[in-house]
Amino acid sequence: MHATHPDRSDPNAGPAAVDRKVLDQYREIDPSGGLGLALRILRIYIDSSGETWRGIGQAIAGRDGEALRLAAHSLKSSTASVGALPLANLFRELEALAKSAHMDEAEILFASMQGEYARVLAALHEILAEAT
Amino acid sequence: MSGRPWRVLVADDEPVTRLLIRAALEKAGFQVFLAEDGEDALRLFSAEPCDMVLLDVNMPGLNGHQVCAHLRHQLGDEFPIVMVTGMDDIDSIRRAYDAGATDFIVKPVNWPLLGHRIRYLFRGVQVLKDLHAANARNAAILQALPDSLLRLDADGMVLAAHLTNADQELTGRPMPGDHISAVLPADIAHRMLKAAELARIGGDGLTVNYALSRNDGTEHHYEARLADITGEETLCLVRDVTERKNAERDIQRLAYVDSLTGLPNRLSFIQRLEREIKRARREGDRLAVLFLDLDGFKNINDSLGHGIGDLLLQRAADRLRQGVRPADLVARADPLDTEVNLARLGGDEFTVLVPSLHHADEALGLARRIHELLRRPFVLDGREIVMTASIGIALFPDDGEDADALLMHADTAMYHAKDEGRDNCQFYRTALTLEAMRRLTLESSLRQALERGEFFMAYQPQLDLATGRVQSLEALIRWRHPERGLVSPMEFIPAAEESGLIVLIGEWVLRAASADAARWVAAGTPVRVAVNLSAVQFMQPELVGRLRTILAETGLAPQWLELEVTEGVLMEDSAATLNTLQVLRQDGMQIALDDFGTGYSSLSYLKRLPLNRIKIDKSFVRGLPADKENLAIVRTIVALARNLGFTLVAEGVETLEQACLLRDMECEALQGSYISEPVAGEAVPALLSARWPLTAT
Repeated sequence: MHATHPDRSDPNAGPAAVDRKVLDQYREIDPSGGLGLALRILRIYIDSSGETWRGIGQAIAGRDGEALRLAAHSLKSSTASVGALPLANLFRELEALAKSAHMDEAEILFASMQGEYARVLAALHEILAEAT
Repeated sequence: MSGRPWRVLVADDEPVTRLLIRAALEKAGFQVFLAEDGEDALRLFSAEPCDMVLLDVNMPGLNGHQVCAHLRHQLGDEFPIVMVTGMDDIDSIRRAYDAGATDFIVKPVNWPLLGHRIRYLFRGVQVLKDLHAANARNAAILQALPDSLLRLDADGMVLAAHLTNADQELTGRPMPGDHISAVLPADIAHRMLKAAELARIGGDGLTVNYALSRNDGTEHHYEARLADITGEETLCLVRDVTERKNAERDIQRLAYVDSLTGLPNRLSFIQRLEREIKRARREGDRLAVLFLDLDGFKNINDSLGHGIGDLLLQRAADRLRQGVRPADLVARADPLDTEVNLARLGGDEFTVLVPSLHHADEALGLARRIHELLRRPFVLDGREIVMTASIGIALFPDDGEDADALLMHADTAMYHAKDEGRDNCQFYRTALTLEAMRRLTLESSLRQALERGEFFMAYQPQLDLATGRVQSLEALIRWRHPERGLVSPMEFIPAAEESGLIVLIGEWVLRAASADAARWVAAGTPVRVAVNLSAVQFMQPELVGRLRTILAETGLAPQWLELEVTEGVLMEDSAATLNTLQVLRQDGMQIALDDFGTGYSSLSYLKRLPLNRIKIDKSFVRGLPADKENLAIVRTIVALARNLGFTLVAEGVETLEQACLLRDMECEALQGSYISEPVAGEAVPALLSARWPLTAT
């Protein structure tokens, strides 16, 4: 995985789901200067983001603005951390809608994010597979 | 970072961020503890106290702001709490500040830089901690110091004041905002500001010593030390040094004062003596050291015990103190110009310093006074003790040039006094003892002579050459001492002049001579009597009044009284002198200028004096006619008298040759042994009726 390495997961899907440069910077804080830390982050994201994702769905269904805001905030941050910047921006919008209690718009936005979330997960799996 | 690694507690509900923060901080060498939410953070912190806490703002349950406020309250102002917040969440950053956060880190976090950020933060915290520790140390030092502290600005305004408990009692305690001149007396404030200024430009050792009165009236001494702080501010530490001052004074006392008598001790006396010797040498002054030893003191100590001995020394010291008070020295016209210093040298030895001595006999007079004071019996413990003392005197510069020599010689003289049978006084030089005793005795004898009528008059005739008769007499005093017989006026007149007795004696002479003259006038043999007036008499403001009274009381017409004055007398104060002479002349008395030629009268001055006659001094007449020089002088004087219109009397005429020469020069009158020696009053009438032809060649 290198910054210059083109994303080959879906050549027709516009901008890359995951910016590998973000993951690259973790070499600098990795204890051995390698990719170990980055890969652990990806695994954690893959394992734990699903629960929060479902929490968002429940918060919207239950019209719970505060729960939605916290969950969106949390996923915005971790999604950005794995380099999925387009998806992180969507979570930012979702968080803003939760803050202003626009739950209907939030429901529509969340529905439109399903594809991107799946694309990110796929890209992360691919990176993991490459690395092992 | 030295020693154990810094411990950082990180609270974030988001596992990815948590993991990244931990990685970043561990990479930078910190030990990291992770908490998943607010409650978890507080729990973990109480189990594992850390050096810093990083808090995510958005957490379920207690959020970051709440945890921050809680910890801030628990840990105080200095503990570093850092908030992690979104870079677009300005409101959250503001609330973090309000909750007491030390700093904040924005997301997205620049991970490679995070460790450095935290290290910088720790250094700031450490500086703050050091500062607080330094402040605490300073506060502790101030608390422990016995000093008060003032911080002053460049104008002398008090910026801060820390006062010790004792200084709170001071009048005008300084408060921030006061000017230093409002809390201290002007002169002290002025010195303080000057010292502060010096301190600011780099002077050192700047102390100001001053004294203030407490509200209770006691005086306290202070020592202020000043040091520059910033070039603008000055630190002023003030210490109460009263106890030290008192101790110094006590030490001084112990070193210089004899504790038994309270008199200066040997050391003190010698230092004083050395100072006085220096002064006396500079001013050409004379001084005396009296060395006094109590006779038989050892016996008293041995037989009556040291207690009585000490008591006796104290009493003796008291009497000596009275005896040597300057005001008690009445011998001099101005007693205060003789200052005396008393000391106890040790044992039964005392010393007295007379710093400014006019005559050796003053020291003897003082010694006699001391003898008299001691001679009164001491009553101690119901017992009468009679004490005498032997006194030795040494004079500067006569007997020694330095303190040691003077003291040693005074001691020697004291032993001499002991040998002479105790209870007496001896000079180091025996001759001086005799001379001083004679002078002192002479003075008191002169008083007695006046009282007992031991003086009598003698008269020396002056032959009037025109008539060949005695027409005037010079009145001369004579003293017949009951034991010594006739005493020469050459001996007693100087003593009378120095003691001031000359005024009384002179008045007696005027009265006696006037009475005699009045008798001779009444008897049909009128004759003029010439009486010598001394300088002291002439200066008396009441002279004219006295003379009028005497003339009135004796019934003598003024023209029969002639007053003889010397040139020296007339030169004293020309305006007053001229006035006195004119009054006497107007009254009808005659004035003669005595000893003419020996003084320095200017001709123009002489011309203005209302004189009747001039007496040529006998030193010019002696040796005539052979002495050509004297002959020339006498010729000049004669010519002078002619020109000024004064008549002339020649004194000291001893031979016929001299008499004829002076007659040929047209001198009006002659006086001297050739004519007649002075004779007693009873012999005068016979002289007056005789004719005295000069059987000239």
